Amino acid sequence: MEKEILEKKLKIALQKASILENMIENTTRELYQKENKLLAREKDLLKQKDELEKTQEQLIRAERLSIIGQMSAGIAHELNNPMMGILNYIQYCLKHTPENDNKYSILQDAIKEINRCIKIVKDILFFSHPGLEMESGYEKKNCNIILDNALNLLSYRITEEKVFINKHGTKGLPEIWMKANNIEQVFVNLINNALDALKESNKKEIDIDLSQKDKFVQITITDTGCGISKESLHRIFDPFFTTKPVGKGTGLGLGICHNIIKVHGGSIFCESKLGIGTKFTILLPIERRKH
Amino acid sequence: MSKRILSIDDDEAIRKSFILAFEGTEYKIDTAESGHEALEKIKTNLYDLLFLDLKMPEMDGVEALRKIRKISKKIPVFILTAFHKEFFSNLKLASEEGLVFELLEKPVGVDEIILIVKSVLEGPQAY
Repeated sequence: MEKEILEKKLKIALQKASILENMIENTTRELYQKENKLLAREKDLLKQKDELEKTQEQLIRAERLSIIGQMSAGIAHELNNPMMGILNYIQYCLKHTPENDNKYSILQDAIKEINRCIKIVKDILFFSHPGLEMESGYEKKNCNIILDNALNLLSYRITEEKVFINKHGTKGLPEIWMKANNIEQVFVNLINNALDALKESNKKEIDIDLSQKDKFVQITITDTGCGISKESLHRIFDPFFTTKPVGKGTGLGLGICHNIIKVHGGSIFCESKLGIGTKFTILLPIERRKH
Repeated sequence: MSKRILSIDDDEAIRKSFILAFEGTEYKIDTAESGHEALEKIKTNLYDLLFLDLKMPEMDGVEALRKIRKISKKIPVFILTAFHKEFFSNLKLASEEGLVFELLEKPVGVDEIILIVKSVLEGPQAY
């Protein structure tokens, strides 16, 4: 009798233990699920924090560039008058100096230098205000033709420095809305930079490709030059940043290119490897962007 | 009779540039350092060409041009500017009002100044 009671009690205890075990199992499963959700949520939050930090960095950088642009424009604008004075004073002195006077060539050098200053100031003013927001001057043009114009302008240098140009691309590329002079300026700038990079290279090649990518025309300019270091790569579009020797570059060229492409509603980016070469990719919208 | 030119600029370096540019030429150059002074000179002298600065205190180039055009609608006026954006809307307005002018980008040297004057005042036969 006692044995039966004990067996019954054991059975009940075992049943209760089994129920408890199930409850514990379910609760543990729920806890695991909640933990996974929390981990996923944490991952999301970290990703959002990352993106926010990147956006903040971009905003700070844009603000800094805008301030630099405005300050530079202000300074450049103020320099125009004294530079005009200096240019005319030197030209006057040159006019009244005999050619056989040793001061004559010095004055000629002075004019070269003041003209260099004038170019730098013009670049600064253009960088800060390309004037491209003005609606007039946009027309439909073929990028191929604009590129050929740029290559023609640089043909002497390309031949002298024995650089091989390989130009290819999609036939029947659509015309795009652009300010042709400004886009030509971009191409001249990039090809000029490529020629500079190729100076010490054994293999001197520039590959230019044109193609249509959805609603954009894509132009890539790739050289086999010295390349750009990782540290410099993220700064190449910053104003006044240059890797060229003193007197060889103001550091405004790529900044101006970036502004021109941006105002056209396009984008420009750069990939590079030291010792291997550099590739610039430009995307320009086929349809006109409203400003 | 010599052709007469007026340079209107608040900056002495610019006024002096024009004086030096025309030295030894057949052109007579006068200068004014403000829009007000220019208007006084234009009322009493006959000028064949004006060089007018855009950015001047008190009366800027566009306002000066408006008043000049009330005195003379025909005299050629070259507005000198560094193409600063703050003046674009004023220039656009002036153009829309029918005020006639040409734009000249600063800085400009003696050769360019003489070239402009010759082509405006003497036409192609100057070459």
